[in-house]
Amino acid sequence: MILAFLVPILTGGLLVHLIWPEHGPRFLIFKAFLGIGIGLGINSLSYFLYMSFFAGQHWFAVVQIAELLGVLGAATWQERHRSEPWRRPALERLSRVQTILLGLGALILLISLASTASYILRRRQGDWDAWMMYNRAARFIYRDQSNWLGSFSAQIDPIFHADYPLFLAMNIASGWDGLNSETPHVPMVQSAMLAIACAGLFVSALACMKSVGQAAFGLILLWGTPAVVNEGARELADLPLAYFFLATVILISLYVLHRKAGLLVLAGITAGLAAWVKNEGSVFVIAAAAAIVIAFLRQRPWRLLSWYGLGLIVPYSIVLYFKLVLAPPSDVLSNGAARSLAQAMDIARHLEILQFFGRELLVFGGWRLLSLPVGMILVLLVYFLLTRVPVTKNLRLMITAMAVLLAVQLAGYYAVYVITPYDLTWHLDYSIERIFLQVFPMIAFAILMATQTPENIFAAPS
Amino acid sequence: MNLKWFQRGIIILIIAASLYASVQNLLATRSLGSVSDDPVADWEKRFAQIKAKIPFERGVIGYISDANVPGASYDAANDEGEYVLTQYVLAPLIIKRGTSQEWNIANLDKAAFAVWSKTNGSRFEVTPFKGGLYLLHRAGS
Repeated sequence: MILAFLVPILTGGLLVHLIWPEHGPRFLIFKAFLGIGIGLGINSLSYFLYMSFFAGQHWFAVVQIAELLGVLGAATWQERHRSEPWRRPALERLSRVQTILLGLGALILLISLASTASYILRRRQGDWDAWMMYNRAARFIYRDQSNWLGSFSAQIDPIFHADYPLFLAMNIASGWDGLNSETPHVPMVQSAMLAIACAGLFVSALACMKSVGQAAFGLILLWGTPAVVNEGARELADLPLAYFFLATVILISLYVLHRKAGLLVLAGITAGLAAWVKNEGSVFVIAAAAAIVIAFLRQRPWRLLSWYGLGLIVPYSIVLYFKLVLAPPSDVLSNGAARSLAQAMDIARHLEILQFFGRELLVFGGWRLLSLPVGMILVLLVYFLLTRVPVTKNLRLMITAMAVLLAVQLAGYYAVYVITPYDLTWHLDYSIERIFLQVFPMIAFAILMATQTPENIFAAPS
Repeated sequence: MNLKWFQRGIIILIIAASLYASVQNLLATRSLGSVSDDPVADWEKRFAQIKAKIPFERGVIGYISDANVPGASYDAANDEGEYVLTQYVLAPLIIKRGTSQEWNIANLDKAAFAVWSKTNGSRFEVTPFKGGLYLLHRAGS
């Protein structure tokens, strides 16, 4: 089953290396996890384009292999013409704190992987929204490929969201096409793989930018959060979206440290792929652009923005083509200007939205103490207040970018709730945990970047 | 010095809470049911026969359930769930609520079907299937 995704993942990893040819061993691990998401994204976009021209034919594997050989050839050529030689990675001796944290992180990872496996085996076709949207869309596309455009018919009941972007559905359909079997294992593997990639991205980025101890602590935090772990088994789009949000934030942070244009090109790709995963990703495309402009306002932001745009242009053009030409209208925007305006003027709606946001802040994550929920974001804020580090110039840039991103994204969520045509209480109840999940890894990463490492905290006083 | 101990304390607390939450989460997955249960696969089996009798593979087919029969008792959440599952198993057919299509599926319990057929039965050729499913073909189409 993994083989169905192996070629796209290798393609993604090599493309990342081609755009950002950094050789450090920790960076290579980070790039491997980034390659999973980017590879799956390229595969999904390629299958969409392939279906647009060759629907009903069965040689997509040739396209996948051609893409792999193309980036492999380019990466090999680049490596041969590189002046900087490969250095043998020096094995680091781990301190006691690092060893203990890594051991605990591995234990929590194993327990959480067992949870994911147990959940997946009890929900072999994913959860409610998977049947309703992503796996359903994949069935529409795969089962009658010659007429696949009928998958976006305006006659489909709006509750099935035929307007949703196709990242998951296209990967599932291409996997079934490659295996010539509509097996539920394809969406299962995709869901679990993206969850593991999200944790891998989080941990390896902290190892690159902070320390091994902070990375292990990050693993404990992220995979000790039931809301995150369960999402990896549900076959929904929120954790894949969180993955691309996180990847974009990390790449912007790495740009602050390394000033390599390729990092912003990659950030453009990951933001564009976020828009290919879910509609919320389109808000994120704007949020990331705003973050780059505002954070680097004194450092030629338009040049930086053009690198970001270079990465964004292909995935986002395809998203726009899908949304403007193929997809039926979105139900969330179906209210019309007059009714939306009337809803925006209703103070009670605003109070209800704020109340739900506040409540979720207190309970998000799935931690419980004596049967009472304990909000992970609140715990992280307390942790930040106790362990924050002095703000350096680089950290200020990173935090500014992340704060702008988060503010624009939350404003986007807020605006959707204000104008939603659905019953507001139902809509908030149904979705608020998931929108917190989308931004949670990003928030956790920002906090761990701005706090002391466990190595420092547990160091013997000098 | 005191701050250092607070910092160490919160790290230890977070690790303990993460570990506890992970174990609790693993145990909680048992409440999702048995690994041998697959309600979606059961739904696929239930619809296999009726699906084979629908004379087209892409297009729109009507769908009614107990909720469409005046006076019939039903659970709204179950009814919605069955509608979603029906769309999932019948893809790439598009299901549309109501019986305005030439071909329609009725997912009705015995009592609801009796009530429905009294007022509507004459307008359709009805083919019954196991499990309260009926294929309705508009008469004279």
